[in-house]
Amino acid sequence: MAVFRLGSDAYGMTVRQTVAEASKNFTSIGAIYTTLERLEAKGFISSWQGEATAERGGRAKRYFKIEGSGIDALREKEQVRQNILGGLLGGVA
Amino acid sequence: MNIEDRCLLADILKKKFAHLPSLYIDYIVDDLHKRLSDVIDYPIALTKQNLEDICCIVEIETKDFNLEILRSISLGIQIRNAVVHPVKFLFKKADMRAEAKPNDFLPSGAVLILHCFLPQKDRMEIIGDLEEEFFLIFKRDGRRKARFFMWLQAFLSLWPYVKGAAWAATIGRAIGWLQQLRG
Repeated sequence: MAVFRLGSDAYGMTVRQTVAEASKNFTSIGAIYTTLERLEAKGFISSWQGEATAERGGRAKRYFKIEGSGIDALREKEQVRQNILGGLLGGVA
Repeated sequence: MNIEDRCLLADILKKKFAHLPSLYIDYIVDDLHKRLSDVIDYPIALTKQNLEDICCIVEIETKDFNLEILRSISLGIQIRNAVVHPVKFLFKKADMRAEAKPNDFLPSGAVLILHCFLPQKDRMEIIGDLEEEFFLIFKRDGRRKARFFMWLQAFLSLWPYVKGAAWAATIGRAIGWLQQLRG
């Protein structure tokens, strides 16, 4: 979701910051990369090497982009979440 | 007196008064310079005449002094230097810190740990991301927080990879065990 939200500016640091801000928890960059790699292996996202900058000690960025299957998976998860939540709220009412 | 003259004077006095501790001679030269600069504003050149005068002054001033007292004074100077120099060094260090660039504070130990233990495919990207965020935190919150962030990330970032490797090893062993059971 963070990759989707960040759009063209989604790379390790920005994704970590977005997840940390949203969850209000400390998130390690290693956890972000392992998760993103798992999603990439499933074909939900893709990655490519970006430009190297001086602030990074001349190291290249790795950008991530959400794929069509990733958006479908997100929609599906959101539908499931809404169904469960709707059922719960219906039960409460 | 300029610095060259002061050094020259100290050398001459050390040769002339070889029985006096050299630190005491340095002290005398410093003291003389201070006394002269209090009286006269412009720098005095070291001439043969005033050198003789200075030697006379030193001779008179040290005549009544016991050598033991001089040695204890010399020891006092040594102690003062031993105390003052580290303080000066600390100030110098603080100045150096103020002038230093954020790059100088990047914890090389944390970077080394990441270099050693991260898998090669993610190594450069992770270190680059952490370094970029380190500089952001350095500008926003200061050196301590930035360094703490870097160390914490270095240790916590390894955990998912260690966990993944341990899990893969466990599955591998389980498969091997099942194959042994079937075989």
